[in-house]
Amino acid sequence: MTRTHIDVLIVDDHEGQRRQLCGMLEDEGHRVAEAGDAAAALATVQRRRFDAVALDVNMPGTDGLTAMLRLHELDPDLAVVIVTGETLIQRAREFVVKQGAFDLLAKPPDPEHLVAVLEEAARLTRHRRERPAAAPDDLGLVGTSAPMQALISTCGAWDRPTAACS
Amino acid sequence: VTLRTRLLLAFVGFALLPTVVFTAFTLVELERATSKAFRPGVDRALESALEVSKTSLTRMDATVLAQADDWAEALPAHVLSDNMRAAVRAGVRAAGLDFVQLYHRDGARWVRVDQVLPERVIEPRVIDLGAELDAAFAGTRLVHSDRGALAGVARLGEPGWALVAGMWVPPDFFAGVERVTQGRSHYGRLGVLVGVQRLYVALLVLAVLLLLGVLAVTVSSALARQMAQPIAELSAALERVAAGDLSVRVTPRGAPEFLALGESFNAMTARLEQAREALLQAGREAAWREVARRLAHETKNPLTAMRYALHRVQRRADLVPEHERTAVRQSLDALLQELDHLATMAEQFAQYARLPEPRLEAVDLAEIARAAAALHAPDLVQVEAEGGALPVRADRLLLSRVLHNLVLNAREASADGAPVVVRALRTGAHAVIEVLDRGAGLPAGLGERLFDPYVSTKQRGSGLGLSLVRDVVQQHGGRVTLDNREGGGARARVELPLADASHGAVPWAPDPGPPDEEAGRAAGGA
Repeated sequence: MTRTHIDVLIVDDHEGQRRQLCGMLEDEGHRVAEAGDAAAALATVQRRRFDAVALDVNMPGTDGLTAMLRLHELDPDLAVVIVTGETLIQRAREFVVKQGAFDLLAKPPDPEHLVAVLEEAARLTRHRRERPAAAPDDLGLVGTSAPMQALISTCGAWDRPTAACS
Repeated sequence: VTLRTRLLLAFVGFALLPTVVFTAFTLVELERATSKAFRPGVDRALESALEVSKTSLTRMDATVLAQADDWAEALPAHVLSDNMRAAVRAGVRAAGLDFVQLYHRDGARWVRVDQVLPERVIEPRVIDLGAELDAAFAGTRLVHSDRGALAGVARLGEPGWALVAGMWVPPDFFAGVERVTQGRSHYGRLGVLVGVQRLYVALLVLAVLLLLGVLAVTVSSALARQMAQPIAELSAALERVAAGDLSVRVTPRGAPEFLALGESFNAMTARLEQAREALLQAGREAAWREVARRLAHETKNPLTAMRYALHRVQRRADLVPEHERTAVRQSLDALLQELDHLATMAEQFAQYARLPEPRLEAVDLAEIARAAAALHAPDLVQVEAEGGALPVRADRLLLSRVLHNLVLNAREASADGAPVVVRALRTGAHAVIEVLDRGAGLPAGLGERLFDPYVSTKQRGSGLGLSLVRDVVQQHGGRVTLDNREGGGARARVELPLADASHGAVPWAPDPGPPDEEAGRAAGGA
């Protein structure tokens, strides 16, 4: 099976980790964007469309689980993979999945497994977006108010992302 | 007035009252007894009787002496003629004498020569006074004879002749007078004696009274000390306990009641000390767990980065010239192995950092809250739990620690005297405990970070109390939030799923709608 290239957003406050994961995914030919915290991640998702998110939990400011709920508000189809070193969260795997996470991996994850899970998540995202019920340009946004219409037109003008490792 | 003084006064009072009553009774009785035995009137009567008899005796003495002299002058020596005798008899009667006798000295003895009696004496008595004449001449010329005569003596004109003129008296007349004299002087001495004895008895009673008083004071002060000392010791020990010194013990002594009291006190402080030790131990364990948690957490991030980096290098190993490739691959494998080893270690630390598995059982959250509040004075921590039982499935010990920590925080934050309120209520499927204080409220900018380990607004706080609260509540599928209370102060709110909720015990789930920032934090903000 030929590997499709996917768009991944990496959210982690640890810069070294972010860089290496970014490089690793680019090695696989994927397109990657980085965010150091939840606010930056939300801003990035509003600008660009992603297929998967690798999300840390313990970050300054808004934590990862809250960020995931916000991301789902912006893009309900977007599959999120939680990558955390918190034992407590790892033990609450079922709960996190119930909250909408695609999967939860413990740090440090096996690199190949992580990449595979992210690719799997991206496949799910794309599958959701290609649901027959949805019109080709249906962004999953519903609303007739002026701000909502503005948002829909903004989203329609999204560029396809380019490589963005810093 | 100290207890000891009161006891002392009471003892002395009880000991001295009977003594004083007894003494008064004794003195009154003594007075009555002596006044019965000795009367001043009797003394005076005896005195006058003696006076009367002495006066009459003196008059009789003077009469007989004067008659003796008269008759000695009037009569010649020798035996009297009958005419003379008749004249004398008449004269004797007239003078009131009972007899006149004539004695003549014969050698060493006086011999009675004649005796003249008054006229018409029917039964003449004869008493020979010859033996007593020499003594009379040597003294007062009076003869007081026990045989019944009182007489005066005088010499006649011729040497060797003596005349005795006298009266008959009862044979014990002089002994009687003597007895009256003796009786009176004895009675006088008795009066003095009674006075002295009365004084003596009064002094004796006073001495006994003093002795009893001293004895009462000594014994009662010893008793009072015995009673008051254990109480004073206990009170001092209690003060030290109040000051926080739980190592204080007393030596039980004294009465069985005091022994029991002292032993109970010791048992109580021992239990308190054990409980405090357990709390400290739990605190230390929490601190160690937190250290381990941090260590694990801080290690995992660089390890992850290293693993990613290593993976990238491994992918490029083929780019290395062939003769170096084996060495590079070997090194990379070694690195990967060591990295895995470190990751395992970090995981072990994380395991240690985990709270012990809760032992879930059916408990009443309201009751646990009441128990936590009961550790404080009722006016400092008030409980509002009208809603009845709040059944949850939880670890009683862990939840007790949670509520204990929250109440303690609230108490420390509270202004003096402002009570902390612990409120138990139910909202939908959740049991809720709120702990409210009137302190300064949440410090601006800290907010939810207060739940993070080592974050504390207290000078002496470890910063682990709230961290434990959050961990335990999350472990139980609940959530805990902090916010500012209306009207000043802070509010801590713990929500746990109710065990009797109609749709079963579900872990707390965040509402999907925005802006529920706390929800996500509570669930994942570790």
